[in-house]
Amino acid sequence: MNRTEYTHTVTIAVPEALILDANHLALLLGESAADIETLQQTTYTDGTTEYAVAHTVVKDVFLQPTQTGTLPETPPHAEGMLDRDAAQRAFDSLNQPGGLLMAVDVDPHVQFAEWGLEPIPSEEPI
Amino acid sequence: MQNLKTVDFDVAFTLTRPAPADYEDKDGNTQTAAANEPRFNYSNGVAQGLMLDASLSETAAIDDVPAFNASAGHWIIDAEFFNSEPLKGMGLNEVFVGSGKMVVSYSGGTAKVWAGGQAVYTVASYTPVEPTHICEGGMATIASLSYKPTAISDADAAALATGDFELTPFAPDELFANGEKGAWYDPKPEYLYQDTAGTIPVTADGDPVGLMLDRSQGLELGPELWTNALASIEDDSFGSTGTYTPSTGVFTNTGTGTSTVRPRFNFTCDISPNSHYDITLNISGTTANIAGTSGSIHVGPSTSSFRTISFTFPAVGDSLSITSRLRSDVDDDLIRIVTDGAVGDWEFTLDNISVRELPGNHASQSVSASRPIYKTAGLLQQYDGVDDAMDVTLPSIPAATVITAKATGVEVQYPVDLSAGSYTINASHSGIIIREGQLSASEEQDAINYLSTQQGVA
Repeated sequence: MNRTEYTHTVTIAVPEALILDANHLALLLGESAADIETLQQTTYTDGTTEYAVAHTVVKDVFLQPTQTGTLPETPPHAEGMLDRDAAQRAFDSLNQPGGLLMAVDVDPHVQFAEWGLEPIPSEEPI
Repeated sequence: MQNLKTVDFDVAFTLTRPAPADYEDKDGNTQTAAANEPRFNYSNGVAQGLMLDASLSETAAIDDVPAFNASAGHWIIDAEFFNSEPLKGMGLNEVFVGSGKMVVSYSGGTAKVWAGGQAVYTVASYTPVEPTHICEGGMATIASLSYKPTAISDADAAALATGDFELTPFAPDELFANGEKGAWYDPKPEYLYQDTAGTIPVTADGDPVGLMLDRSQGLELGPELWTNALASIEDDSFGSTGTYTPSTGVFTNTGTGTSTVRPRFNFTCDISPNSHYDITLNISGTTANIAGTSGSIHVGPSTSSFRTISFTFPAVGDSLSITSRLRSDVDDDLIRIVTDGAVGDWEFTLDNISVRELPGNHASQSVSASRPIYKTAGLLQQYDGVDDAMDVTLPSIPAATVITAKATGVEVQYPVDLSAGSYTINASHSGIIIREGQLSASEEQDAINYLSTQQGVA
């Protein structure tokens, strides 16, 4: 059996106001044109702000921008779709007050609680 | 009827088959038996016996077993079976492959199937029941079938059972052998890909799953759909002008234009929505004047960027063979070939183009972050409970049976009314079977037994 290249996980919570920007960041760092739809609806809240959340396995390369402070070049799958300014805004807000929340290699549900987030009650049974 | 010849049966049966079907008569000529007419086949003048082909919905219901004994008895069958269950209804519930003489005996609460001079299958806790059909499923040719309402010793059964038969292990694709609607998801690496295009296989613990193939239809490609029929070329009003030469496969563009997706070359191709296709082609030619950082070409059924295959051109002078898989979400019966924008004249050749459907209701997830992962411990396919999901579009399947291999065991749900549309799989599992209608008791038990042996299932 081979070893997976997906050696980390990331857990992300995005304030509703930053969802569009965050989706451009997901498109830039992701692997598919469909990653522009990574975050769609808010499902968690801290009592005042609603958040969209995501959790995924990632390769080492995904975390490089957080170490270098620089976003990568536009990949082929994002050409013609990417708004780099939006992606940069989302990136700059990372773990800043009111910005994107991101944690690496954690249990997502534990992390949501540590961030003070609770699921938004759903009318439909899950 | 004059060419039909009965052989040695001591049970009465009624054959049903909805349509006429062929057989070979004693003179080696092909004859056609009318609907519901038994076919007693010959091969080179030698009588073979009663033909039963499940793919023709051909069944032989047993009308009467002479002097059936509910305590002890035995059957002697001279037959050829291919994935067929003999004496359907008596409780063997197993499918065999082989030919020759088989003995089925029962007494004292035990039933045994004898072949090759030994017991090849035993039902340890057996309640005698008259069979309802000579056999079921697959294909069979029955030369003779007799029943004796008396016990037979193991030694005598072994001596009589000179045929060579093997049990056929159950696999869920048997549940779809007659074209039943549904899906069988078997989340092992050989049926998983990291990407929706099916170009990056899942090979390691922890790999994400972007495409999970439906095994219910056998994963065999359908007929060739590519006809090389150009329907139209959409040029750029600012200057890009495309040409295509069907005899050579050469695509050209003159002029620069401004659009990033012109010219478009639209080819007639009979593709359907919510279906998956394998596309192969070979590309060669000059590509320096195609715009974009990678100079890409896109092939797909529509303008949707999510539903195309894209690849970068090879270096000038080289060629590149492409094999990719895509899902159509439109019904425009077109395959569109388009490059990134032109910054000057270009020319390239596509040849050996092939478009073939991969039948089935395959499940996919195009968003990277929402893909479940393959695991070698615990359940095979694990979802994070946050955003992971696999999407599948199903036809209408009223009153379906859904069987799921979970950590807590195998769950059977029936009836489940599935209207045509999109469905989401978002709970960890080691296999899912969705099939129209209610399974027979033996089918359900076979499916449960199969799924309960999958990784991580209690």
